Amino acid sequence: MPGGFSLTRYRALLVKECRQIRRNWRMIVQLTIPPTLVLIVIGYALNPEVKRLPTALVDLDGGAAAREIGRRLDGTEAFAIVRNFVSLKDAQLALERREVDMAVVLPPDLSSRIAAGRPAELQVLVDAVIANSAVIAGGYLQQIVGRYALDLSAQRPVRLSASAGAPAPPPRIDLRATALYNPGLLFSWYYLTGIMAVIMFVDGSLLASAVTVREKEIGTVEQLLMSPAQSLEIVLAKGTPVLALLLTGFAVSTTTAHLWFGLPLHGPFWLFPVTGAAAGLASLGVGTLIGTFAANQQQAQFLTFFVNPPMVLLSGAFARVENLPEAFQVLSHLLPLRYFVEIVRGITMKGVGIEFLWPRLSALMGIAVLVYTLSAVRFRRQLH
Amino acid sequence: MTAAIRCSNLTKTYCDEAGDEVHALRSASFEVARGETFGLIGADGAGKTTTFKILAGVMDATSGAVRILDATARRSRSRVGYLTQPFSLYENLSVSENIHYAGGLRETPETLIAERMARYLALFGMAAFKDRLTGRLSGGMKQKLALTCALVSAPEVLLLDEPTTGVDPVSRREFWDALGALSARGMTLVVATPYLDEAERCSRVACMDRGEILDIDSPRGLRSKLGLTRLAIQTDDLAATLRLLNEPGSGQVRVHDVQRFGDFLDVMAPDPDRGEPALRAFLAGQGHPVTRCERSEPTLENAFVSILRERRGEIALPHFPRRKAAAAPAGGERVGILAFGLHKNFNAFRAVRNVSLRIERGEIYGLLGANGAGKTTTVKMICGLLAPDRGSVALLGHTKDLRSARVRSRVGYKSQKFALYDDLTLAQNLEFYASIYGIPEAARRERMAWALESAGLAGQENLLTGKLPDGWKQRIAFGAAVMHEPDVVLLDEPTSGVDPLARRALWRMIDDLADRGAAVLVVTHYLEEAEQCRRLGFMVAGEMAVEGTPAAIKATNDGGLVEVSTSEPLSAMRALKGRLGTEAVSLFGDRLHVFVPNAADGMRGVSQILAGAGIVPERLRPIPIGLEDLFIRLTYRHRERNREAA
Repeated sequence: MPGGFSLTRYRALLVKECRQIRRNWRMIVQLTIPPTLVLIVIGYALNPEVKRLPTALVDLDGGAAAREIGRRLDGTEAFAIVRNFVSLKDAQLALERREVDMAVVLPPDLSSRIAAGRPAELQVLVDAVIANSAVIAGGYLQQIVGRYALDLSAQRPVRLSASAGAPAPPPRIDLRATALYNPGLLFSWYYLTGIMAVIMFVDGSLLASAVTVREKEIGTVEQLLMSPAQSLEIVLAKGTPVLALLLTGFAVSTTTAHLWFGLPLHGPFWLFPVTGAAAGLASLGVGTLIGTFAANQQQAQFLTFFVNPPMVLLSGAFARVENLPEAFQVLSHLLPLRYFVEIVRGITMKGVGIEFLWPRLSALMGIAVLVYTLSAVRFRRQLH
Repeated sequence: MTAAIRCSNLTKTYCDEAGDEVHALRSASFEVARGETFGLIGADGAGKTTTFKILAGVMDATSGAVRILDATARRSRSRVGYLTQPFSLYENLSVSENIHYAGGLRETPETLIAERMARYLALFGMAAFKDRLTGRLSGGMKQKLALTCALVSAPEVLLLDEPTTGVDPVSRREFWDALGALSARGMTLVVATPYLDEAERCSRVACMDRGEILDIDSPRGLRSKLGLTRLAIQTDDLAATLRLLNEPGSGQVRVHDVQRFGDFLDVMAPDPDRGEPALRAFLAGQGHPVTRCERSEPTLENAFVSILRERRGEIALPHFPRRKAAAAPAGGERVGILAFGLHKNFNAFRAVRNVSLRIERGEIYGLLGANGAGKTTTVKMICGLLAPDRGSVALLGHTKDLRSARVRSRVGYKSQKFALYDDLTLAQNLEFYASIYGIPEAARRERMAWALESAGLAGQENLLTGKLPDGWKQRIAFGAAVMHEPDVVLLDEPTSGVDPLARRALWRMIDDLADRGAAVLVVTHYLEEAEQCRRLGFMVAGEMAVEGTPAAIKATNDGGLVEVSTSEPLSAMRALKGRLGTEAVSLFGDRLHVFVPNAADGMRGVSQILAGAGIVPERLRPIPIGLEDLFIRLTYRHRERNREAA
């Protein structure tokens, strides 16, 4: 960079950018209202409460263990055993007729396996139409069966003697049922955090490319490049107010997710602004880079559409990175969004230690600085 | 002859986005006879486009009446052609597809479209480009295509809104020749133009300013009403002479419209026989005797300027609040701009080839050329916005770090497009440029006030810049670009869209910059204004074709210009073009300007050709050759050379 960085010029540029943004209030609205709406809508859409799901129990075993599982299922809020079958065929027929949404199949050797202390498997048939609910129901089922298994191993004598006395005491199980956490909530937190990260990233790149391209469209970029202002000063001054807006948006979405959907905020708290800023910087860098390549707003938008969806898909925001082909898993290490998503989940729903956060935070910051510097260099060269 | 257009008391008032009232047109009345070429002249914001929109029936006047071809404007729409600004052409359709689209919209039968398309494309020399994609046409050809589209429905009246803005002189002249041909066939034309040399070709013009029509007359009528003669005077010190003549106390000599051209002063005197001796005596008494004085006829521009000045008064320029003493630059800094052997290719296109420039401080250098000749590319390389493929640049003796803040803060640049932010107020724009160029806080207010006042916008600092017409933006942008007292000034088309009175004010400021020791580079294709530069460079196809003072450039040419007045301009034009080449002849209303390679026996040659065609001219006379004629010759000669090479 020829010449030094001048704070006075940076301030002059910053004042100008802020004044322009203030006149462009649409941009501020665009940046805060729709993302919050999206967050709320998605939070609700992906937070289906599974209540009294009509379920069929297919008892091929006929033993005590099978009866116990059936009782436990029926004892929860999540499931209602509406039909009992002894053959798989009948269950399939009921599913097809939509009399039930789910059928839990207890295999013939269930009781004997449990008695022998060998692992046993339950089979679950689900109506594919209710995919989301199915995932959540699966979560409940897992908890119930898991807890049963735990009870079997830990409290076997007590439980056996207790269950010997009939009729079964449902209150205990009901109590436990209320203690079950809602897998639907976890599911929605997963998406909420993904969306918080993605919105921040997409907004940042869109806005940065817009402010960069606008200067070109109205033709002032030459004038600006001919002034003593250095490109880093220009690019930083353009980024600062956008970054402030992004951080505000991030704060709004985090608060909304916390208050509305009970997203836990494990912290440490200082990481929210710090990761937010690092991710914001990276997204601004990407947007500015795009802006220097595009000739007008339309082109810039097409380019961001070209860059963002693949990045979102590969970053693990909505689909697990581990499920991607290996080459893409490696590739995803280059994506700043991946680290941002991991950190956001780490400091909200998961609550992880600093040893998990450090490598990700340094990777994110490294990429942010790199991309941003690159965009400043490109800004100068864009007229060539 | 009956009137084709009758307008009485047209008024248009509307509210802009912010709810402020805008008076676009105030009680305008005029009539246009059938077959007439009627010009609307005036700067941006004068009301020309509003007038066209009302005439075309696409906008209603707030009050007043319009009759076109004895019907309302909306009714007669199918008989009126309208060439909008910017052209409504589809870049991704071919020439023929655009023409078919335009004809189809006006329900012209297919056979007629084909026939007219063939006729007009041949007339405009574009027959070979029928299937060319519109986006690939040059500016001049797009202009003629837009004209063809307007003509395909065979309108009786053609409205043309600034058809030649942003087009180079060669294309402009070709376009006016095409209009001349249409007018000769009896078509009624209404043309708006900011170029007053073009307006000379109209049969009558309406001078407009801020929504009002100030006068309507033929160019000849306007010129003679002025009752002044142009004097071109030379003295030993033009700057000092200019100051003397502009001083309000210069008393006994009444001169008007003093302009400084490259190596002479252009002065309007009321009575040449008495005015010239008085002027000579006055200047001799002040120690700057006149060394040469030439008389010539005033131009339409002189007339328009006088009308504007009468109405608004002279633009008083405030004194620049100086900080630096105007000391003589030392050593290596004496040369402001030095470029050596610049080359630039864009893929296969050789945009600039071996261009060298040397502009000393205190000098005003004009870089001229047609669109695509490489002017802007050259300037961008000098600025450091573009890296040359080969060659070197030095600004104020610095060859390295041209982009450093230290060098940049001594350079002033005004780009061709808008240099100001529309969404900031004038004061905020000025403040931005003042602080980015490091003008100290203490001096800032004074400088900003100067920039506002010199643009005639004092007291308007809280106006949103976007609300100003382009011409005004240019003026304030100029102030913003030179507020920091630069030693090198680069101006790309500094006066486009500005009215002639304001243009004179801008040039006085440019002169002042040079007198204070700045090296000034002006890029323009407005040749009238090029004469105001001390030295000129003509670029043709990426190369520097000619360089020198305006007088020297004119002197290198032994050709001359002959004016032919005749009752049969069209057949005379055809005859002369056939013998002397298309580029040698251009039509100005009822007169022809003929370029002759040899001024001495040119007159005889022209009268022989005319006699051979059986035409007896009313008058033949030699007229002084302008830079524009030379420029057009140069461009044609280069094209011919290229054609031969190919």
